[in-house]
Amino acid sequence: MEDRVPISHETKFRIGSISKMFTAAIIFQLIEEGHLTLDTKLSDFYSQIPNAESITISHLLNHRSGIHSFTSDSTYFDYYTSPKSKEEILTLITQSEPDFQPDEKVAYSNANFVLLGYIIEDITHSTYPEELKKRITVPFNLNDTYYGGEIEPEENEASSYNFENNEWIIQPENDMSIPHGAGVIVSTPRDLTSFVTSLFSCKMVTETSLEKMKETDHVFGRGLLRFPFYDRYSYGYNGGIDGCVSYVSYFPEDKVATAFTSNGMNYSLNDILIGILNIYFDLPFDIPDLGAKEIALERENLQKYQGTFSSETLPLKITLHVDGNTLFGQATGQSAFPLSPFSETEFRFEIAGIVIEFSKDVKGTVQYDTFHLRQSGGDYLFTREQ
Amino acid sequence: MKKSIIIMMVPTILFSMNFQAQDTFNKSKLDLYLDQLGKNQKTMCGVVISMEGQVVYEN
Repeated sequence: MEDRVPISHETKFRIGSISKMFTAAIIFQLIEEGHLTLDTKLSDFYSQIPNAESITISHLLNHRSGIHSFTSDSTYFDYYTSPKSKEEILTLITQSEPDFQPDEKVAYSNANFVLLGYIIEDITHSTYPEELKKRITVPFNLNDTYYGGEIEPEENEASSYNFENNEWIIQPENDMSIPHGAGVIVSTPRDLTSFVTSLFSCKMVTETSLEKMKETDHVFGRGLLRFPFYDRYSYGYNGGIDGCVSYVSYFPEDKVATAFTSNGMNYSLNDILIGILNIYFDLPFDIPDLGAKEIALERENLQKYQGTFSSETLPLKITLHVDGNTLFGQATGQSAFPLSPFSETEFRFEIAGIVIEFSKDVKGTVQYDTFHLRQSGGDYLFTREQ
Repeated sequence: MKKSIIIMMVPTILFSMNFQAQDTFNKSKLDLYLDQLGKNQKTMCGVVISMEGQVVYEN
């Protein structure tokens, strides 16, 4: 945090796109109150937006509208730290060409949830922060969750950082007038687990609404994302804004909620979450050597590792090959994955927790004909096929 | 505002496993993991896990 203040249980973080879950919950409340349906057209509110006659509330919630995400444009970085009015944002959205026709496919767009935030205000004749307070944070006792503004470190709000040149560098702030219902909220991990638990306990929306939220096209539900973990799924969202990265999800079968909030990331969120969940569920997980650094190996050296290897204990073969200056592994019937060298004998695919380790003989010469593959607590010997 | 969606990835070579939620688990291992992430400047973070609405882990 600012001035090296340690993160505490009271530290509040910008949660970015997790805000979309809050916006979706309010939208489903408005549906239950009869103000909207999933089939209500965007043209009832903003007829000036291209394809508004064909875009429904449902399309906005599950990213099937085709409305271009203005935050993806390179010009976004020209203005993102300055306030924008609703009219200015609407003009930006209206002037963007659609990415595809409504319901043709799925593509993540922040514009969808900015518009849903505006629709909440239009229906209630109130403001998004007021409705957030009235409908979600007050009734569910989320005392550290609110519509964000300029970051105030003295109020326990975390500034955000990027790791550059071996140090944490403070990042410029998005002006919160821009993300609105797509990414404006500030919260704590404790409040996020309370929020998602209340949502899945059907205290915030009805069971019928929750089922509509959970309906997915593999990943995208209506205001929820579905995350695979081994043979089960959790539901939630993840977010990124400035240097903040966050995640919350709920395993309905287990009634388990997990929240992660960060104001500085220099590692894969996937890796961190897999580690946390493996430890929680008591699954095999070796804490990686996080102090280790990647090394550079020349292409001609990498080529010495190439070949097809098989194991007596795993019914698959692994082929190692070099493409460019990278060594890739590929198991039978699976996609190739890049292997990063951490020494002459150790290669890792960290995102999947795979370590491939060759050995050296007594003279220190690398033995290229065998390696051990380690993953999820397993250790398998592979031998080069002749 | 980043638009990236990060989906939890199941390891490439992974067998199905039986597991279940628990309110007692190896909290010191999770403490150690998060401590190592912080000490090695991988992240600055807060983590909460709850089960049936009760917080079972907070760091």
